[in-house]
Amino acid sequence: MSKPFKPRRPGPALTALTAAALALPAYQRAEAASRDEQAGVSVRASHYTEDALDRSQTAGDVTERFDITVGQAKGRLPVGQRFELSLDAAYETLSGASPWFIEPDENGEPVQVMSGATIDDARTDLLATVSRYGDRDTVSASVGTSREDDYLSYNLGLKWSRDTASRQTTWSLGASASDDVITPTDSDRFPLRPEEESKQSYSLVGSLSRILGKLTTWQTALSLRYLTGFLSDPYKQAFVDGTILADSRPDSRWQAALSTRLRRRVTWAQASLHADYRYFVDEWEVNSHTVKLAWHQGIGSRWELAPSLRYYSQSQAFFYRPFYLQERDDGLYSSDYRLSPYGALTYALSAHYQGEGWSLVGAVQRYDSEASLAIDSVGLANPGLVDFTLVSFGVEWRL
Amino acid sequence: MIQRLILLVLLLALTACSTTPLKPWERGHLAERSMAWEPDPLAAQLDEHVYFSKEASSGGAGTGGGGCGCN
Repeated sequence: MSKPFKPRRPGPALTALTAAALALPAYQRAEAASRDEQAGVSVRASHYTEDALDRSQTAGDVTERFDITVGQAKGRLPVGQRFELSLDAAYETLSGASPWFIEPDENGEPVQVMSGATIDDARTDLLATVSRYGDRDTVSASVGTSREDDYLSYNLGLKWSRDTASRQTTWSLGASASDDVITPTDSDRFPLRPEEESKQSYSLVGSLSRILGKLTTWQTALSLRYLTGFLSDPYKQAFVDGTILADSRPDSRWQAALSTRLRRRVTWAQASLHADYRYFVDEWEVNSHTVKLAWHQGIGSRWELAPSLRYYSQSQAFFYRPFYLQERDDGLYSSDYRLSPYGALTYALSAHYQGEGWSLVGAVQRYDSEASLAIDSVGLANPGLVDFTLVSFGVEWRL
Repeated sequence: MIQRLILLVLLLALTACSTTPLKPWERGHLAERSMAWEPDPLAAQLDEHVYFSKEASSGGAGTGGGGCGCN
């Protein structure tokens, strides 16, 4: 007769291993938002230069564009058993010229007119967040501000996430709002520029994160955003039947984005595959597709190299034209390349080195945009499409 | 197009519901840095801001933060 089965108590080694495993954030929940028990500080410096425009598609001598430097810092501090405080700061300086309006040349082809004088500006961005971590729930509240010489924005955010009992799935819901005021520079010299305008935005994001197995996680999210107020660009103008008019866009805009992300560990290669997709649609009839693939290759126990490729394609806003041969009934005009139809490819490579309590990261990326890269065929390409190369370097300490 | 995407996502969600819960010691690979949604949060913030300032689209899994003068 066989003995009755008695479950064995786990040995000390298994107990220690399990405790260590449970202490790791990703062991506990599907979403990487659980509290890190150590304080940490990260800093990063980045620089990018937008390529000069093609002289044959530019009116005048100015073809150079912006030169931008960004410094970022992030601090994180666990407080007590349940709370965490974090502070994000960014300081950005930019200098150069930007596309002003587009006019037709003698052949009817669009040529870009650039803003004449060099523009210098700086942006300071601060965001403070407090989070409370429960057994299965996490609640975060944030408040932030963004300031430029001609711009002031305040924003608030709330986020709640909840794990299922098995910790296999995390649901989350977030809401945010911002209130922005713009006071364009030199409005006394340029009568088409307003003296002061404002806009507000409201966002709602719901997401579902799920562990699909020992090697795979998956997340999908739906975000909705509503903007209202002054949504035009005060520094841009439009060529309308031989007359230069102010950039003028609708004063409201609904946006929706559906995104999904997959992470897959490839054990035989000591690597992880990232696959992201986003579909975006808005009230201005812009829709876009964004696909990003990244391969995070571990090299030994300390190095990681991550090449990535991002493809983006958007359609145009319903009122956009490079230039207008006649007035529109609705009075809406914009020749902004950001509302034009085009596609873009981003090639990037980043390297990460893990030290004892610190890590280094360096990255370079190249962004190329072309009308011919758009999914749909484009009649007249916008001559102001932007290309740039970005380099970045950062350090992180765990305190 | 959007309807097909929503259907695909819902099907994936239903499929995901049937997976067997993992034990803590089976989640080692998921804890790797490279398996995080954003292994480098500062780089992700910068990318989001740069793309927001140069493209017509925005939004995703994160909650929206501060704006900028780049309409």
